[in-house]
Amino acid sequence: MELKELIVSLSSLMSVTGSENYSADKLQELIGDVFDESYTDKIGNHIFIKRCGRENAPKIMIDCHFDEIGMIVSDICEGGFLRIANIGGVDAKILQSAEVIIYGSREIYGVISSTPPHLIKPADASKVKGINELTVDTGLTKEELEEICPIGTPIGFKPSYTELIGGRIAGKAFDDKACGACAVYALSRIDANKLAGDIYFAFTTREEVGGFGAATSAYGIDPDYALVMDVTNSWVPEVEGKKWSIIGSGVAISVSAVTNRKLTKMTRALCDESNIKYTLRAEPNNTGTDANKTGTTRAGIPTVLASLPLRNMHTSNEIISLDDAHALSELICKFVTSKEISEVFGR
Amino acid sequence: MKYKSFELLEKLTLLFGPSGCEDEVADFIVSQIEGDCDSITRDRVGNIIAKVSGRGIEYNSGNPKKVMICAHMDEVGIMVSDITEEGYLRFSTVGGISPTVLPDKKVVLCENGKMINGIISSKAIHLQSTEERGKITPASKMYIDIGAKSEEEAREYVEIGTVGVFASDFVRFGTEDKLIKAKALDDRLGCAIMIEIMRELYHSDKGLEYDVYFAFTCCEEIGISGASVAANTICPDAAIVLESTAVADIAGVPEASRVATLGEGGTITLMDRGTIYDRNLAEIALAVAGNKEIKVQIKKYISGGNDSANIQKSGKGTKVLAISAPSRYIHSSANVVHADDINAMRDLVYALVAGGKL
Repeated sequence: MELKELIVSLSSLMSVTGSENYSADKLQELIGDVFDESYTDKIGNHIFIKRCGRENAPKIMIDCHFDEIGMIVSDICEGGFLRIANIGGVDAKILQSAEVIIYGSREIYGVISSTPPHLIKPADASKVKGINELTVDTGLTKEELEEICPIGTPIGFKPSYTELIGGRIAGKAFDDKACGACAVYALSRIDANKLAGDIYFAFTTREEVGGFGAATSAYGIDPDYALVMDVTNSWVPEVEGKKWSIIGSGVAISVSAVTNRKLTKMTRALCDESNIKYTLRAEPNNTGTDANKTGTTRAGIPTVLASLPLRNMHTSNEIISLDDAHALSELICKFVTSKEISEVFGR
Repeated sequence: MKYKSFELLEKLTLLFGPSGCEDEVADFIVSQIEGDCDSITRDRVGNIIAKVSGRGIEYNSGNPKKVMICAHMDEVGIMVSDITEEGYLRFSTVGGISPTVLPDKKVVLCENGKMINGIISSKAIHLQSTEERGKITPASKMYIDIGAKSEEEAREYVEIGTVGVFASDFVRFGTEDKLIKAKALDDRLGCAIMIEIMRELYHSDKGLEYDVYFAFTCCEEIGISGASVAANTICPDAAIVLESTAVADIAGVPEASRVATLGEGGTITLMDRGTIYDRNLAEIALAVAGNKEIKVQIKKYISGGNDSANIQKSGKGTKVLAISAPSRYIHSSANVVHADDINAMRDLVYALVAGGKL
């Protein structure tokens, strides 16, 4: 499978935080062949292992979160409308007239309601309607809804994918499954005997609500060192300051107190040696990613954070550059085969 | 009257036709109605006017009475107003689109016959200040992302003045798939009803006592109204405007503000922000609906407006009647209407025109 196809296929899976098991079978079907073993841990992390074939080899963890932001049914109203609450950071401003899928006993389609102009008072014209004031229009009866999608049913953006110019693409949940696709694509093209250790690819749960999956998966795997992948907000208009992580600038490598300086330097060296495009991101305290957790799990896991620049984060049309995705995939190739890094960080 | 599927409506909603650029819609309509009327003319502003001539016993060929049925071809859209040095497109809306339904919606832009995709974008939630999070982002602070990395790259595809429309598919959903979601249902549903009525009238054995003019008009959404030009040309004795009207029959809205209800039939407007309608025509329509047991409802809120305002004032004045499909989330990428209402409108308008009550 080509990288673009893999990005689109993985991102289209439903994996709203807390419901990561919904697509477990489809996930296995899509990427299972690339790995030797896999398991799902108690809180829902999907762990895939590719072995190098040597005894007592270092354990290298590649972390990427599988979950995506979404919504949940909070109440069922007359006339076929659902009240909703957010899971993770959902911007209520993008929701009116958005199309969603409600993942009940069967998948049903809905449109998020919007208010016609004649009902908006001038005083409220600039006020944002909170998600608790919005409803999903399903066209079903209350009775049908109670049976198909009771309170607590997850809701996700309707999967869609759009080709833009210059090899950039838009779709839902590229945060963070596009990164996962980059890792799987890299691992699918590497012979096991070239690996610097056993590779644990952790497709983690619950990043969007605090990174708990990263903590428990790292604890369970107990790797020698880790590379965490996430997406990072690209500069866009209306944002002041330097134009960081613009689309097409390659991988964004973070420099942070929560990541390992030496591992970060060695990872940059891999990029330099192989002409992989990258930029640096200064994130002194909080990276807002799984790396916050892996770095301090157990006795501390040396971690490096590599990110994919992305526009429109947490919307149904997140935008990435395929060139950047290929750069990230290339970096993963180099990272998992680097003997220099495994000699320094392998226990 | 037998109902076909909504295939024709689906095709119509998927066409590209922001106000002022209705050619694709017009060409399609012409291709659909050739052989289903006595004449087709395309006027200088871009309206399509098709005529089904009277053939009844009392038809006065020297000075025929004329009925005009009207629906607009154009839809709301966007126009590129500037291109930033980083390749983002600033835009203005064509017609009224609330900034609340713009962010994160897909658009398709067309320049020199080439279509390209874009995403209406604004600052991601992480990049907004607390103050910004509580405030609606005005369209002036949004931009369209076509994936360009520079102004130069963007200019290969678009220029200032390039127009676009929402990209949105046609979906049937809800109980028995009765609801329809699409873009541009306002007013392609009127166009679809007109085409089907025209075919039925033209191929029926029944001769009418008057000429029926079907006007597919342009530029309704920006208020310029191709319909007034069409009405000046036709000089009808009476006009029926087929439209969609914004309703709020949604959870949390009090009964008094709901305007009309999906599934309860076409909506007859007695008064809106542009027109006080001909009372006699409205009463005839209500009576015909009653006799034929066709669902119909009266619009219960004074809001909105349509081509009727311009038609009424055209020439020496024209009697107008508006029948509209109640429509949720109008002027967004996801208009929602009820299949039964479209069928009921078609039945009612056919009964009115074929019944000779006008």
